[in-house]
Amino acid sequence: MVPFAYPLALLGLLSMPVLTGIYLLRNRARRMPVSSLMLWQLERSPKQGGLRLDRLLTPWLFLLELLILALLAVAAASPLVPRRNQLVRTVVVLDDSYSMLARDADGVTPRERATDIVMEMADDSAQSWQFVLAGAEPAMLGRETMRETQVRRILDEWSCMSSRADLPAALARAKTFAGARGRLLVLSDQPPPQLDDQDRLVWHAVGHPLPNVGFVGAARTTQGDSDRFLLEVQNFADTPFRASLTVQIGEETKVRRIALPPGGRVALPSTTEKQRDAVVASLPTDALDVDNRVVLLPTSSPRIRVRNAVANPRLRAEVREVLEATERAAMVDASPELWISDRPGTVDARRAWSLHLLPGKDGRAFVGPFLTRSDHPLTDGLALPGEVWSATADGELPGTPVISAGNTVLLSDERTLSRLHRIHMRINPQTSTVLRSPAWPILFYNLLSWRDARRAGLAEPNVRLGQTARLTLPRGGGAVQIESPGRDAREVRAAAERFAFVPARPGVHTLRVGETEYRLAVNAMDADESNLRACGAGRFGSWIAGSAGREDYASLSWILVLLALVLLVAHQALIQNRRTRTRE
Amino acid sequence: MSTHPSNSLLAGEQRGSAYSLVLPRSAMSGAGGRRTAASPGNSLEFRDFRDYQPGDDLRRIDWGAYARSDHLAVRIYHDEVSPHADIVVDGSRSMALEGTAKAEAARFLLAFFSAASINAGCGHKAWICADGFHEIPGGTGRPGAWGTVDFYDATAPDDAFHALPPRWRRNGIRIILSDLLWLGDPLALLQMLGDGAAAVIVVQLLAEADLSPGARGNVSLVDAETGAEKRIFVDAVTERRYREALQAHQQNWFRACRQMGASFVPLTAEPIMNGAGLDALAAAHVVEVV
Repeated sequence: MVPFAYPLALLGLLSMPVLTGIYLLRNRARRMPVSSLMLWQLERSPKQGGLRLDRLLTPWLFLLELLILALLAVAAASPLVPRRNQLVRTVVVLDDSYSMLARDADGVTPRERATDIVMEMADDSAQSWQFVLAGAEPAMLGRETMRETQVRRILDEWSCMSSRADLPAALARAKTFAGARGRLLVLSDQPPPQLDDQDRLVWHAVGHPLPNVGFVGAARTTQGDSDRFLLEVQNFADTPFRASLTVQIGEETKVRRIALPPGGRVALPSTTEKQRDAVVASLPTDALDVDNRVVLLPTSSPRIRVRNAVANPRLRAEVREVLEATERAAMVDASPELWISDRPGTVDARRAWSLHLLPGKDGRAFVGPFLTRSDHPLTDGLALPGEVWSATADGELPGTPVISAGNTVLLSDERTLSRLHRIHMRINPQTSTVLRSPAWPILFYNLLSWRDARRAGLAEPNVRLGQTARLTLPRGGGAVQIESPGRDAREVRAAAERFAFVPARPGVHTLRVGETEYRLAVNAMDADESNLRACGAGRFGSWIAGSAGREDYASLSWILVLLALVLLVAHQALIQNRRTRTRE
Repeated sequence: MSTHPSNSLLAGEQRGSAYSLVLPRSAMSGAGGRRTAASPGNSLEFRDFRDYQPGDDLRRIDWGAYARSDHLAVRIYHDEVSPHADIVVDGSRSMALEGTAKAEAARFLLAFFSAASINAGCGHKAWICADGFHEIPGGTGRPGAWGTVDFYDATAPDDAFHALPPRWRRNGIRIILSDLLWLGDPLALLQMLGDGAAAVIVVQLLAEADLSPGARGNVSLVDAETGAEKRIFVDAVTERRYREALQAHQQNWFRACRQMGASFVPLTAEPIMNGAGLDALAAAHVVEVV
């Protein structure tokens, strides 16, 4: 489409129907009966046949006048054409969120409409294209190209599987690529916020407001011998929703009728026997399918194997009691994951963490203030003010101080070369009130949670799309093979024992580390993306913004004005010719 | 200006009763009339003597004069004449031009001349010229008793002569009421009108719209007789040309009438129906006030 520098001037085209109206009214003949036409035979035929010439002249004059008006109106609007000797860089921001996959009544998605828009412009050889994906974080898509076929290949990689689209961040990234002379094109299913008139930016909103019902939450927990799972469904429509929710667990399928008012949301808890199978819940097909299905994998989390090797009977009992209270420890004698002892040198912790308790004798009573490292896992939720912590102040504790009282380190964390943690705690159980405070079980709960988090395996088997999945490798670092739905398997080298992975699409992903396989369920459950009512369509902004935009274009006004002048001269010549014939 | 046709006849008769048709000398013919002709005839009124010619009626010899003078002489007496007027109205559709008083004025004049004829001691007969010359029913009597006079035809009067020629009285006065707006030689019609006539009076009746169209701009002219249409743009120049053409046409008729010894009187319809417009007839010595 040819851009115009002053598009409002096209309102001048309204003069054409006005002129047509004037001619119609003028040419409308009044009926007049006369006694005889004999006295009205007034025209004398010139030698060239003037009567016919005269009749033909009026339509020609009318057409000339119409054309002159059209040319002047278009000239005033100043149509612009790109200067051919300049390469124009266009940076395209593509909305990568999954709402771009919503199908309208014609079965067309915003992604398809956006692709068509780009391909229509891509045949211009004087343009280069660079694509920026607007997902949760901006990312480049492909390299800059001028070739139409390459543009098509790049757009085929655009999957629209992000849980959200950070368009402002992607736009900022795009501006750095575009520079002062480049053009920006945004393709999204949402209308833009306020646009800056100085930006050479065109925003194509390619969405349509559509009703949608989808999952906005799903969770599964295992407690004892039972599995609990929770499903949340929301109706993003202006009409009530009544349909069946299907839940499949292994071979068993249950159907449940749900009814939601417009905009309504419902939470559906359920409890079953502990299952090893995935729970698959699904809703009927609607505009957006990606949020109509959730998979919840089993979330069993065995207790931490703890060996209580404390010799002091009283302290031993205190430790046992607090471990049982956390319900996260399994007391074992062999192959523990956590050794607890009060005697140095008795811990065989080549493969286990350890907690070394140092009761001491005749210790000092510390009443605070206690200095705690708030970013350490052991101090999460820990409150010590008002407590008495008695401990021997002799000697240094190895490792990083975690809790100190003055210059005396009461609790430290030592990390070995094999990435195991040695926790050292000075405490006199007889004179410390800490053992009778909530801080004591919190400390042990944090220790067990921390140990659990550092176990090999996925921190959470069920995550939302866009959420980071964390995998702790069995022996710190190594190759991780990832199989994702709809993609070929790939291998990633993990430099450390913990591997963070952001799944790119929903479904069940498989991660393999050596012989061990971990399954990860990723579900699209974002209320903002499932709500399609705010989607819209339209073209906003202009690439002609200020002088920067005009430099790349040449105006055709002068050609149109010249044409209009030529036609005006022809018009006057015709009128003059007519007058001359009339006089004859 | 729409009035019942009989009202126009009655109005014309009433107005015509104040006038008398001026009879030309040559109209004094026809035996057994109410007037004494200048020509010798068989009435009882003595005129003069003349010498006996062989073949004269012996009953006319003045025997007293022979006894006194021994000379044979014959008595000559004044003749009695009966003048007649044939009044013809053009029955073409143009005489009933839409939006004008032409039809009413034509009926008015038809009745006017009938009444004026009666006042002049003339016999009269009313005719309508439409695809031939047809007598108007009751056309020898008073106009009030006539049948309808409608203008429905598209035949020009000179063509009507060939379609159904009139049976006019010889030596009568022939009055034709028409707008004269057709293409043709006036002399041809006048010759047919004047054949055996004592006098011919041509009254051209035009409407004000015929004299001056008045319309400006794009106009679609519709011929009242043929229905033909012509689209033209009427401006001051076009109007001027029309009036010049009409004037030329009237001059043409005037010259032809003068050449044939006929009277030509142009009249306008609307003033006649407004109570005026007949002065031209008196000025042309066609009628006189009684």
